[in-house]
Amino acid sequence: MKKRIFHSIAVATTLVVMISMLLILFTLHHAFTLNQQRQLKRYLLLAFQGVEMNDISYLTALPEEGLRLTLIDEDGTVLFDNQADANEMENHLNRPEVEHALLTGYGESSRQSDTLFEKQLYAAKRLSDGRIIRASVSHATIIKTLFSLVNALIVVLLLSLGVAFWLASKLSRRIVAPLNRLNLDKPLENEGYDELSPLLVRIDSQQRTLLAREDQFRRQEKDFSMLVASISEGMILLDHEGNVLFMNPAAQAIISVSGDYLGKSLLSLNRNFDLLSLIHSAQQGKKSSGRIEIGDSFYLVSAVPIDSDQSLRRIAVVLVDQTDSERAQKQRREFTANVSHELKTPLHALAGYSELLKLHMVKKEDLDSFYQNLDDRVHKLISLVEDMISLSNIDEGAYDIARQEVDLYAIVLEAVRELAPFADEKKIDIHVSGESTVIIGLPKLLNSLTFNLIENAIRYNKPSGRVDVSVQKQQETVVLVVKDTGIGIPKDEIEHIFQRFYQVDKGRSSGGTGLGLALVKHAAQIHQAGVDVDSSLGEGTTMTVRFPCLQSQE
Amino acid sequence: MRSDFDHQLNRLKQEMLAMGMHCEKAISQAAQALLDGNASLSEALPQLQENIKHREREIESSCLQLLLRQQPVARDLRMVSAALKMVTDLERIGDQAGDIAEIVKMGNIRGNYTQLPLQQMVEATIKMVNDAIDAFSNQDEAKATAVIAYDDVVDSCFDEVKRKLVEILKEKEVLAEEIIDLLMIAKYLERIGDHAVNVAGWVLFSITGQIDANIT
Repeated sequence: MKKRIFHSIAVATTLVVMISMLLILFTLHHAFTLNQQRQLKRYLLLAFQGVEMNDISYLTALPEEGLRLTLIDEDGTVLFDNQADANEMENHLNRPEVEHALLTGYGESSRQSDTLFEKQLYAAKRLSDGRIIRASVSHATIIKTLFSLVNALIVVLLLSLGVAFWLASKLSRRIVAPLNRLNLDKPLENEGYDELSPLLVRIDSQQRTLLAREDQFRRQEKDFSMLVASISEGMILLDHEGNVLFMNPAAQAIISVSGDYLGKSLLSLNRNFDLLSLIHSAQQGKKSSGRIEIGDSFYLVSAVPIDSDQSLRRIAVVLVDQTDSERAQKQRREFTANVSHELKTPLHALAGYSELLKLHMVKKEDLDSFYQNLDDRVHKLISLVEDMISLSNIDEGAYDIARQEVDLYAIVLEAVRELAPFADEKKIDIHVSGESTVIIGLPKLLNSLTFNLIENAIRYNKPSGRVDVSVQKQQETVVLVVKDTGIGIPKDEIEHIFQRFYQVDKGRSSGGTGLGLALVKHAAQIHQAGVDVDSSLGEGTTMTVRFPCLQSQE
Repeated sequence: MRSDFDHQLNRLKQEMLAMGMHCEKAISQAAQALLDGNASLSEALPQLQENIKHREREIESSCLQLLLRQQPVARDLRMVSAALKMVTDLERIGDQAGDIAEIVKMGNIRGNYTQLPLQQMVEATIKMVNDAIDAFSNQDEAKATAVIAYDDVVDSCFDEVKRKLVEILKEKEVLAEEIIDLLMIAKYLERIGDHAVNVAGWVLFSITGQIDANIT
């Protein structure tokens, strides 16, 4: 801009200087010419007077320098010329000034001489005797004047140009200076040209919108990245060649990527065949999804191509952990299989017994024990079905009914009383300690919880063993402890004992249903109670159930 | 020009990784069929083998194009030529996995041979192939060396299988076909290990320029 202004000023000034110089030259030249013509006329009049008085002798007495005077006869013959030989000169009758003088008494003309640079001015007057006196002077043309002045002109031109350029650079700098000082970060605080203010106002408003938008964008991005970082689903964004553009922490954990992954191909980070085949078909533009196994976990993966253009295509991959539901499904399948199996075994036995009886194949003396066996099996079947109903009730939320105050100690005593025959049979001592403690709960469930715990303590005890049951209030909790001196539970099986139908003794010789502890766990859960297992193999097991006291305040 | 070349080299690496992945898959499918005693698990193998062969051809042609058009030198040249050699070994690995599956399919192996360290062999070979490919893609010298050393595990497993099979033959009456098939499977696994060593050797060559004497 500065350059542009500088150029404009410099060119304009130069042009103005040159034009004005030329104009002045023309005007001066014109004035000079007029002046010369006037003088010529005056000289002519002087010569006219001289010749009128002294005739030709006046002319001959004049010096040869300067003014040229010619005396011409009526017929055009040159009679005298003070600067040339009159005899050699041609007839002057057809010269315009002579013609004019003969006609009107006075004539003027000017003629270009042989060179461009000079011009002859003529003035002629008729004498009283009819002859013509003519004066002429050579006059420099404008071109000659120009040439004669060229040195001076150049000096003036150069000087003025110098001044023009200096001024131009100075001015342009001055004009541009406020523009250079503009602070575009705060457009409205600038002073300088009023002409700029609409522009500055516009810039200001645009800057504001831009900032607002940037802010909004940044916030959205932050929200999004927070969301993406916190969700448990893995998300990966790939470019069309399978290089990672983005991966959230969950995805990094799932495909076990550590360190730098951006821009690397997924193939070099993980080579799960199924995952990559899904991505491969997404690369071909086909949306694909499937279940894959990574390590011990199952994931539902969908790979979606974004954008149809091949080179701009991105592939979004979402991994959803399905391990839990997969496990739950597996557990349900196992449960169903187990239920049928558990029911079938005693039923088969019953069928066998009844067939033997029908065919009268039992000896009379064995009948009693036979009936006893039959009775046992039926009861076992009943208790199994009852357990299963309780469990499924819990599953269905059937115990979501009003709770009431229950004396846990009383329930323990009741269970012990019920189990006394069983304990006697196994020669096991049961010791109950504690005091009457009231909690809020569901009596039926608490019944089966204590019953099952104590029953297990008896069942898996050694002969002549001992079971200690205590109910205690400890600060915020009510603690039920069932301690036996039994066979104990192997360490690596403890985590399984609460599963349905799980029995440490795979031979199932103990007579349990395998559902007892599952019931205990669920009943405890419903009462927000925790169950702790402490067991050492061959020495015994201690089951501790902690009921929160808060319940009693509800 | 250079960036174009880099791009093509990168593509080559990706293709190698993909081919390696398919080989791993082939081994694990064959192994699953073998260890679970369920030949139907390896039904997809012939297709996989075909895929691997196809990939071999593609990688070969892209290697040749790279050599002709870009005329790589030094390390790049070694890498491209190593890739050219590696695909042959990888393709053999796929073939051998297919062979194992075919033996399983014949159904001679009926007994339960958990005393044979076949599972261990399978895991070791998959690990070797995986690591060799990783070493190639990351140009990781240490990993390649580790793969070569790991072959001892596979070899000792093979010796053990051989010894145990002899014991079984001595002890009881068993189907001779069964023993031979098991021995062949073990041998194939051992060969897969050897091919993985070759791959690792070529990786070492591409990094260091030294050709390992063990490459067969």
